[in-house]
Amino acid sequence: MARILLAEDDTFLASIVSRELRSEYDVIAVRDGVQLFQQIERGRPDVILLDLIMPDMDGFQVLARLKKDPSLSSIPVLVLTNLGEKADVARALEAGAAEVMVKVDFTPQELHEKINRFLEHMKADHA
Amino acid sequence: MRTAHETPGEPTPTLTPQEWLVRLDKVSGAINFASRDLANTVDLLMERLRPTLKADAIAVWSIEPGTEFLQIDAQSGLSAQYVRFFNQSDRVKLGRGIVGKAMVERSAKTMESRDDPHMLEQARWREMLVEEGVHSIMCAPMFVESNIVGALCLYYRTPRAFTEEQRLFLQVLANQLAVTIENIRNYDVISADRENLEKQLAKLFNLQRITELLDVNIGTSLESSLKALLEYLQDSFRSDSLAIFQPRSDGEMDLTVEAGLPSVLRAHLLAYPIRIDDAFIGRCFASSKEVLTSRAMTDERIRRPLATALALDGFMALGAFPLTTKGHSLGVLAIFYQDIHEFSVDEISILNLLSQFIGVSFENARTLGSLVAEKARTRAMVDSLEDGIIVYAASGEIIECNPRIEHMVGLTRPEIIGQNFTIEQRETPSSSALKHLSTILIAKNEPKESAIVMDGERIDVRITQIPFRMQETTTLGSMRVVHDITREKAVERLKSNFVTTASHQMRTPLTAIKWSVDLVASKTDALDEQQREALGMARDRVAFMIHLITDLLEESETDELQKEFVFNQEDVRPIIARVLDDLRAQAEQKNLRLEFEAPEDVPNAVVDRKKFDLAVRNLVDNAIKYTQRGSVVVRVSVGNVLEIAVEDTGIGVPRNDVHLLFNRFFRSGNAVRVVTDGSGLGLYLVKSIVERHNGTVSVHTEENRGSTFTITLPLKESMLPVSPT
Repeated sequence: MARILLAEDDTFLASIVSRELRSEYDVIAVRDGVQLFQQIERGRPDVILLDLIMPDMDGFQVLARLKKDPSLSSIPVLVLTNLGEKADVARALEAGAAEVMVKVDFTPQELHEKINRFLEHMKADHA
Repeated sequence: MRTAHETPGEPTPTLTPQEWLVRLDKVSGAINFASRDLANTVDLLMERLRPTLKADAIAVWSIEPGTEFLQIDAQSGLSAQYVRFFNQSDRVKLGRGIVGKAMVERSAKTMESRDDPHMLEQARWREMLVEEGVHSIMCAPMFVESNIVGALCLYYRTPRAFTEEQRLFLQVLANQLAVTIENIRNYDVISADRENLEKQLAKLFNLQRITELLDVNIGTSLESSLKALLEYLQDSFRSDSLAIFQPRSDGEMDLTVEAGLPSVLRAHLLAYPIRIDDAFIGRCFASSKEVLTSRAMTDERIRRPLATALALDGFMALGAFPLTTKGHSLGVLAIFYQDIHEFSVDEISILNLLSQFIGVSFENARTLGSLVAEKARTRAMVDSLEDGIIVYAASGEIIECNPRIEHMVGLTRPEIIGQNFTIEQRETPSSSALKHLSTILIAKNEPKESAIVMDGERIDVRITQIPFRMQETTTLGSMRVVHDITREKAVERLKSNFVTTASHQMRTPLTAIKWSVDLVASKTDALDEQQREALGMARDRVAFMIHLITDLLEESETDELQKEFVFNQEDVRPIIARVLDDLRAQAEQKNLRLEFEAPEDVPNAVVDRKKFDLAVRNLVDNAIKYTQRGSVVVRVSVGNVLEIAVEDTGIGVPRNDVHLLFNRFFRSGNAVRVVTDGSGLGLYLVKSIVERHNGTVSVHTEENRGSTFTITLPLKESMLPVSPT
């Protein structure tokens, strides 16, 4: 089962996403960037779902740190955010995100389907 | 060589002619003329000369008597191994290598790097130089009377570039040395020779003064400098008149500058112009050799009319010296004496040297003329640049800056130029911004973002470092371009304050609501009809609110438009260039060619710089966004109106959508597919801005081939926009 690491500081939204994805995946939820890196040490995820606005270490800082570390930079990151401006999307992509999804534009189910497709694509690439 | 940002090393060993002379003076005074030991004295001389000339090593070479081989007679700073190599193992023949050539060709030679095959004919010699650590050599032949007695070589252990003046001075120096050594040989007439030496030194000081007079800069004209020069020479050579002649295209020689010429002679020279290759002066020009006479009246080489004219004014001696550059004649310096005058060897050699200097000055003046124009143009461009520019010499000293920098650091240009932050300098509070700009570490090709504080205000900047290089190893200096990004940064910060907060804060609860509703709705079998209906409504309302926020946020963008337009006469090209510079990275990421074409002469248009920038930026940004491969080209053309066309090879616009394109919020289907989250505002913005400029915007497009968006701006006076009062 693929492991998903979810970083989201809003607990309600985090719980909905977790519940949705748990049926298919091993989901671990953290609340900020610091906890995210702690979790990575315990076990490398197959994909990271990353919120951008978080306390202590935000999504951009996480992306920067992941990019810099050669052992971690290959982990795909899907940014889940409510920052919808073009500039923000561009900035996240530039920082290393594989894709940017605006939360408010999707339902949890749609998100689930997107993640499925994404992971399938990844598997296909590595095949 | 250092750039402004490495630690200081050895001081650069360049000496001005004046400094050379002063040093020679000092050295000559220290020579112990009473010594009978020639070899020791010369060695001592070498040792004294070496540090004062700032050379790493110095050597006197001569020809081994009875052979064609050269040898090192005296030296300072060279290793014993080096001397042994050339004196025993591998002898240099007259005419070979830099030393041999200098002697045979009777002029100073320079070798600026070890990769000079002309000077270093043998690979072994090159190896020897490598071992010795020598990179550059300057060598001048030593004459006594007209006999070659040896050569003087200066060795440098770092690569050096030698100027013409340095070459010529080494020549003079070498001659001095030859005479000095000769004097030492004949030590029993020392006192007389000392006087002689001093006389020659005096002449050398004259030369230095002459060089100063010939220092033509942009402010002075060559003519006025030469006039001053000739008057000075009149004095120091105690001649009665001097004149400079230059050839005209019709074969006659013009009297360009003169000093002390009596009216009769002048009238004669003007009435009977000298022809090139004819008569005394003409022949001097043609042959590029000096022509002298001590008895003008009876010298057959002078044409009768001129001889008579000379006699009338009482001139007895005449000397003509060619002004040459790179071997060919540019003119003649003529020197007239009223008394019987024998030109001494010294006088001849100095006058020849002088003539060469003048020749070089003419050449420089010619180049200078076009350089001045070029410099003025460049200056104008640099001055008008929005970016600050600081130019540093290799030593770290600031040698140039533009007005924008003055503004940025709060100092005037005279206060900025000359500062050198790589050496210990007293730091004043007012120069801290300049110090920061100059000392911050910047990697090549990686512009650095930083900030300076001016009058309590923070200026965000992006600094780019550009080195100037000569060959591969020698750095001549560098330049820093300082780009003001305060507005960009402020906007970024502002954004992250209001818009980010707003959008984020509003969307977050909406997401929660939407997902909650969705969660409940997914369990429809547990709901009755009424509940399902209520849920449907909730879903719709949430969707509506989400849309509303998007619209509201975009409204704030278009609100920008309502702000005042301020129009000025501007050249649109720098505005466009700046947009392209900003977006270049984006284009490069997609492997798109980004180009800007504009004609030489573009009249100023009346624009609001910021708004016009925004319009162009939107068009170019769109072009890049909606083009997957190929190019984006921006073209400016001038006709009745000014046209700015942005042409891309992108997805194009479907025919049915073209008339809707500039509508607010409109996005055509194929665009949405490529970039899902565009606002649809971009082109609406462009249209509003351009129309406010009394211009038009239009599009030519073909789906999947590309689009060309064209902005036109009026040029006719009656059509120009005005700022609101």
